[in-house]
Amino acid sequence: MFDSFPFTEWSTEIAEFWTFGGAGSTGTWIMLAVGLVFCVASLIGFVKMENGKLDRQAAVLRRSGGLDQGSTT
Amino acid sequence: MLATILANISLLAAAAEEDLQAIADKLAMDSNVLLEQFYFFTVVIMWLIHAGFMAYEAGAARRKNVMSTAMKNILTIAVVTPTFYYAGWYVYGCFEQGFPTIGPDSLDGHAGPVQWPGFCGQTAPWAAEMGPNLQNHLNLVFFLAFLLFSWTTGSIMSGALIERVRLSAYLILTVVLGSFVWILDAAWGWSAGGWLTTRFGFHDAIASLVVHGVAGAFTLGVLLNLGPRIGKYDIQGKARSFRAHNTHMTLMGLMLIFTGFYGFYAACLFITSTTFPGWLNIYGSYTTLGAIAMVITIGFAGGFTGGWFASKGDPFWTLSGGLAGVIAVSAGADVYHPALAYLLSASGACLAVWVGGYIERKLRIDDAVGAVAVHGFCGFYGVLLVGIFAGGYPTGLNNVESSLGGQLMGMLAFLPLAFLPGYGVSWVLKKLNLLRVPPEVELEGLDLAEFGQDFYPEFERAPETVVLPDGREVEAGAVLLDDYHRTIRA
Repeated sequence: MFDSFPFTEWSTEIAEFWTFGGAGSTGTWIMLAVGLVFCVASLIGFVKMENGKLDRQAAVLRRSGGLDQGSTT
Repeated sequence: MLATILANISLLAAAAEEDLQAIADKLAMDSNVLLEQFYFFTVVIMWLIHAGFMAYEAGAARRKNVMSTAMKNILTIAVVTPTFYYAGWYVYGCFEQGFPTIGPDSLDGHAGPVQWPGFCGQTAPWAAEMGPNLQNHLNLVFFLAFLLFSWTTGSIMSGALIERVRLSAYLILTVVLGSFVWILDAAWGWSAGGWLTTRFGFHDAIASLVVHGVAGAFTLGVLLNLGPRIGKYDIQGKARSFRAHNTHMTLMGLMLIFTGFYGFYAACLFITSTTFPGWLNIYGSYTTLGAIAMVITIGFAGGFTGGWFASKGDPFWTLSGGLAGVIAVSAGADVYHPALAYLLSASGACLAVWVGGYIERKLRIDDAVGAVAVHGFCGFYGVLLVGIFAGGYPTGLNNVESSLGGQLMGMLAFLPLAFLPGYGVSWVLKKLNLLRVPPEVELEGLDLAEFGQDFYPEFERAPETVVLPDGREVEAGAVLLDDYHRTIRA
């Protein structure tokens, strides 16, 4: 009833249409490489961004002097 | 006349054969779609595990660390998903017999399951089966089920490290654990063609060790480098306790994890709907969905009971006991009788409570949620129990009988495989000063440094308290400040 898709006509092209050129094609390789670079860069970014935040906040807290008083507990 | 009759019979036979072929094709298609739907819905249910871990850990954290704790669980998904896609799934598909060799055999997925030729090649991110593909219904949903297992390993570690680990350090560690370490051990001992399975009959049907035990051992390695939270131990080394900021949230989180576990258990099976008995475990051996669902349910019952009595009614350990109990019977959940599972799960929960106390008080390791005891210890305990109570069951493609020796072999292989990377990577991060937040930030709370805000702005901030080793609950300020000064002097 719903089988109106021109599969015979598209059977060879459909995978390429969906996957930037099909398995193992140049387009797929380029997309995979760009994604991998983004993935690695995001991991480095997580480290650098957090490092900056923590260093700044730790410096602020040390300057505030609020942690200087020792306790006798 | 006779020739006409014979010709007509021949035509009828050909038509019947075509009809049978058409029916067989439709049946195969229907079976594939059933399988695809099954894994899809297990993935949906398994999301609850992660919602649960987030609530569980955020509730266990102090108010000042609630969002930084929850964010770890959310960003686990952000980093493990792509790294598992790029590398982890390939490790599972291609490393079953150890590490791939270079040679003609490797071209055809040499290390993939014999009954699934070419599986290795299908797991590469550039494979046709890893993209939209009308001819393949299974690969992507099967990948997703394993991806959810990967997130689970990260979430198991996550809770143990809360309130002092850097978010970014945790993310690096969870990539190593979720996309490399656990999936390598799954290839070796949680697949039909894995070398531990085909050579030693290693049997861990619902992943006591390959998910929980391995994540726990990895976490132990990290905790040794991370160290305890400021104020956790007094100068004599006696343990203090921090009050969870929302125990209700923690308990609700655990209940969500339990619900998600049904999806986890189901995802560990294959449907073979057109052949008897309709279900196979991950090793290709016979089981049923009903059998494992029964074991998980009575496992919770035994675990809650054991946890309650071993902890003398402590709410946190009662629910954690449920988790510990289920993990203790997961390895043999496909074959255990419910009555046996009930007893074994209760024993696992009792032991987890005892091990948790030993780790905290004797070893002085600050595991904030008891992950090493519940997941790590019970994961190893679970596969040991299979060797004792389910020895002889055929496992793997060549039906090697499971045995105590085979189970011990798996334990010996996976303990260093999990512990050493956890210890090594966290050691490197520690040397680079990237493992732990600065002590000033830890004292103030991570949320203000990471996000610049308090996440309960409409509530008055009550003084933080700490429970001393003698059981007295006192304001935490002076205790923490004292320990902070001791930390920075060291």
